[in-house]
Amino acid sequence: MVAISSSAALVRREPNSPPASERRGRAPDVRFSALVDGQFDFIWRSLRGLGVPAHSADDAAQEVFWIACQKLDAIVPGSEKSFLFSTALGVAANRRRAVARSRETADTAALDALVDDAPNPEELSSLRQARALLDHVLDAMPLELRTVFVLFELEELTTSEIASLLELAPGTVSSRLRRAREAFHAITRRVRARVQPGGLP
Amino acid sequence: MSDPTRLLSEGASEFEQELLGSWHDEQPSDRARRRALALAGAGAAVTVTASTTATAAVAPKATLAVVTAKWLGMGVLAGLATSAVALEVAPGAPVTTRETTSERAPTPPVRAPGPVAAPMPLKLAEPAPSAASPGTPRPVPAPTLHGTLGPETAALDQARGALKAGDPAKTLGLVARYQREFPGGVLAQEAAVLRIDALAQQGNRRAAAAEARRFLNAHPHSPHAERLQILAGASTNP
Repeated sequence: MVAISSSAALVRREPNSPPASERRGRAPDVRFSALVDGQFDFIWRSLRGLGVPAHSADDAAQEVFWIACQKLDAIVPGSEKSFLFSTALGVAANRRRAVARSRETADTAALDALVDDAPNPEELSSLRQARALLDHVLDAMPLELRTVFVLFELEELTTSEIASLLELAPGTVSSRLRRAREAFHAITRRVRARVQPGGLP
Repeated sequence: MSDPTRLLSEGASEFEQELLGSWHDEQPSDRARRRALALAGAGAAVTVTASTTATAAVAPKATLAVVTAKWLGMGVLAGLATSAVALEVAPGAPVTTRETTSERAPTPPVRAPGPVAAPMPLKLAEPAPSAASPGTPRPVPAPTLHGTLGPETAALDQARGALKAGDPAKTLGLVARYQREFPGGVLAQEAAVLRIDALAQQGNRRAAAAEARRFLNAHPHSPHAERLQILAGASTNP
């Protein structure tokens, strides 16, 4: 299982403070707008990378930012990205469950089964091939590896940024990245063999 | 310790590079960004509404009261987002458009403000007829509204508070009480939405979805419709 940092740890404890909806008038929405401007694309792509289908990525991103909007005053300054990402992890998990696409097992048999679901060459004609295949490969990766892979290889965060974001030790991030790459290579080889039968040595 | 070189730059096969390079082919739409930005504006609208409530409650013009009531209802809706998340559905964007007065249900006769806000023992989880049920007869419209707006708001504030406190049974009781006290009230739609959210928070997703669908049938253009459409479809993905 992926270590999902608790967004609760990223908010200030103010037991007697009124709800955000009642404070909104006092605090300008500049901070929230900056949050959307600076992080929306990252969160949207991250949700996609975490297994949220393209057709529901907009709604999932909206859900993440709605939660952030409600808790904005309590989010510790400087931890906004961590809060958003940990929220996105939870939202993505819900979305995956909702579409019965939980794919967190890592054993070889499961990977084989998942790769066997890869689109055949005829089906590929109706897909945006590369991106659809990338989704397929990511879907076949264990979630904890997939998360690190997306953040490092695709979003190009540093390992220390990822460690901070996921509240993991840097060594754990490096270890997961190494295993994620191994999984990526293994899965892509199988996918390629299926979609490009003559393409492998 | 330095980071390894990224696969796209080194170590990936041509096929893998093609896959990795497709990552940025997908980007969120401008519309999606605008929806997210609108969340902040919706929050501000709630506050503005609250600050104008006192004025509206004594305003002689019914239309002003209606408009204010709409925004109050939106505030009720905005406060329910947490329960929507608990249902594993997107709460959706809060309302950003104003509903026209012609869309409202007919209003009830003017009542003398009763002790609506006063605490009272409740029969919890009492089944209540949905205010959104199509075909439910509505009371004859009243010429003015301001006589009930304050008590209606107080009643729904109580229900909203119960929902926020995580007590859906109490919420259902308070909504049922509101619906008895103010049949066809100005905030009937908001009461119906509160009831739906309470059912959802209670874990009764099937009933919540069924009531959401009835609401949408009765009020397809309601400002609450967007979020309820998600709720209405939730039971198909248990």
